[in-house]
Amino acid sequence: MYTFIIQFADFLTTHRLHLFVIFFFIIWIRWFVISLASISYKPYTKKVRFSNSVIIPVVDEPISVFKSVLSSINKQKPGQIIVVINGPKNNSLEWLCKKYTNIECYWTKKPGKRNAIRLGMTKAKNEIIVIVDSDTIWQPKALSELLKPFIDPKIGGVTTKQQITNPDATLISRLCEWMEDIRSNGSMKAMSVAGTVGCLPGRTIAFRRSILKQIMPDFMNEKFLGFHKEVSDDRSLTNLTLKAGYKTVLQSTSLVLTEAPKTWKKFIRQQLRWSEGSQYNNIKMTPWMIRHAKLTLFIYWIDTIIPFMLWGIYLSWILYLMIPNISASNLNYDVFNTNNTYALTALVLAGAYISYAFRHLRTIFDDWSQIVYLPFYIFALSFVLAPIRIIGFARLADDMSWGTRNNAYKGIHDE
Amino acid sequence: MNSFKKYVSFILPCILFALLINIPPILSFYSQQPTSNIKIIKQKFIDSSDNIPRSGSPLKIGIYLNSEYSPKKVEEKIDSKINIMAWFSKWSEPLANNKISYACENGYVPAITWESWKADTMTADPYPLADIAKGKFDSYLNEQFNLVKNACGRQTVLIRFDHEMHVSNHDLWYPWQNDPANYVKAWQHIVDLSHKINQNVKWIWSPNHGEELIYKYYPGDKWVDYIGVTMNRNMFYANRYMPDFKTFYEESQPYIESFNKPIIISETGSDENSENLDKAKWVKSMFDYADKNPKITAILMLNELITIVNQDNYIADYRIDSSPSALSALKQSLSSINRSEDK
Repeated sequence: MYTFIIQFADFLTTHRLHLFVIFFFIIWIRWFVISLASISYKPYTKKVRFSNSVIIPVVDEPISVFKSVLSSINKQKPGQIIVVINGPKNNSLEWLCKKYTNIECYWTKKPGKRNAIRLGMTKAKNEIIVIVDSDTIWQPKALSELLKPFIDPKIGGVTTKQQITNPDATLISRLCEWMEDIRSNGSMKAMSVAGTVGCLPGRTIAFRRSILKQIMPDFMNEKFLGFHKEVSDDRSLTNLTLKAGYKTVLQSTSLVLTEAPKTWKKFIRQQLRWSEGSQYNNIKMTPWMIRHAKLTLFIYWIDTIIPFMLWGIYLSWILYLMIPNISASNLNYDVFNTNNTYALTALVLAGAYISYAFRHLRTIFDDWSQIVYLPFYIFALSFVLAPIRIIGFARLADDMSWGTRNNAYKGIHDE
Repeated sequence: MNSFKKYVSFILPCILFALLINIPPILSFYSQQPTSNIKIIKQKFIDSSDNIPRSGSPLKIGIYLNSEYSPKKVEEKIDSKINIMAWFSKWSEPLANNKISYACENGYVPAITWESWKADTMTADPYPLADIAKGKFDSYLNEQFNLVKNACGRQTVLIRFDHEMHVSNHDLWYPWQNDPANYVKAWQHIVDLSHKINQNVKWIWSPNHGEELIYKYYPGDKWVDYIGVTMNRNMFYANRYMPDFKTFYEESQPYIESFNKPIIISETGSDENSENLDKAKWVKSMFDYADKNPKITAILMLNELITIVNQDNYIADYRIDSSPSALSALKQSLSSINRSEDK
């Protein structure tokens, strides 16, 4: 914020445009658009009745976790519960599953969530299909709330609001909870108002069975620039639902719990996978979004650009510090008349804090203790998550180049 | 309660942002005002529109401070205040820097010899006069004038743009030499731009010496505030035989005074290493003469060793304290001429 003030003042006088000024305007415009759109967000409240089937693909979940998952789901009495164990045979999971008489258990040797969903679909009988991750625990009324938006026949997919089990446990879990909160309070609500939530997070998503049946062939044979990409099944289902002409929304009153990664290494790996998948889908969906979902397009592309801009700015500052003779870029403003590096750094950081805090007041209002952790969140978002997004984008580009060679082969082999 | 939170968390940041985007314009506005009124009154500079230049005001003294930041050391050395801080600046570096801010904040008039080239090389000219005239460098120029305005507000700033332009009879030493048509166009263009932004920049048009040839390079009265002239004395040129300043000046006088503009001796220094140049006598003669000629408003003295490239890199010693006798002559001259502003 402080940087913005001095650089913008400099621009007005000398007409030198600084990258940070553009960056600052972009993040505030993003905030404004999202906040304005999400103001009119309301969860659906009318009670409804839909027959429903729950599909739970599972690979090697620890038995204790899976037990509480199944019991949390079973308590809410879905019409049908289908567990699809995929990959190597897992006797303990099978044993647990068979303890419940009302749960149908299947096993497929072929690994992969997509195939598990396909298999589950062939067994599902009911109108609404709910797909659940094998580590996601439902909060009370999660199912009944999740079904409410389907009262609107144009709605094809609905997602829940995600929370982290024990958010106060570690810094990682705090960060994950914060990210979920700002996402569901901000961009998710905004996109939901437009009916075009670009990605219904797969912890728990509900679709109409008719739509899933219709899109299943595409879902199973998706190719990107000629190669098959086994990432972001939830995003793929969302894309195909949107393309089929249905709306996708968030039901913020349907709550589910999920575990945060235990170590930074796992956290980084998870975020890298997500960032690669989401950016790959952004590119793929861009032509469609231009025509049908401008708000989603705006949000997703800004999110893609921001890390690059931010690090462009950081690198230019580093260069500036390393090469002392770039006097041409000296600014003529010094609001508090200080040349003291420490004071200047403090002002820049304070500015960043205030700017960030104001943009996330909605989430802070729900939990004032967050103001203590904001500096950590800002640091993590700028120095951990932004580079992850950049690397994710780079890996995607890399995949495209080698993917066309190696995987073209693999594609034939799979047939 | 929830909807209250919702609206407050939208409206508060909007207010913050609205305030925020208003700070820079205010800042930008105030920074263009003179930093302090008291300081400007301290330093009155002669208005070039006066018919009788100097009009009773004392001769102004300037020193080239190319390597130095502040004139304090020089002032201590000569026991006297100086009026003008002079230095050379190439287009490849910013015109306004800490030095200009220092000058304006401390009551000195900055006099910048502003050269449209990049390094001491004639080969690749990144700023051809024709391109300057066509407006190719307008954004650069506007930026520079704005920076000067930021630094100096309403205070006078002297700029001596592309000096010694009329050389054609031997090897050129600046890329802007020997191109009268484009020189005049470029000059007019630059001054027009500067007048739009900052009326307080005054322009010194500064040939090397007086001769018939200089008229072809004169941009016109509207675009020139002062006439400058280089008066460097060393053993390689005819002027080594000039026993005193008067004889030297009078060679150029008919030409440079014919424009009826105030004169600034915009670059002067004397070598003394060899051939009995008698620097002390020369310095004394300069102040004696200039003090009595009301057309001469200021003298800008070089104060460094200067390498004369086309004379086998001979190093001329133009420092004001190159010898004790030269320094004491300068001190004596400065104390004998009238320099009081109050008269």
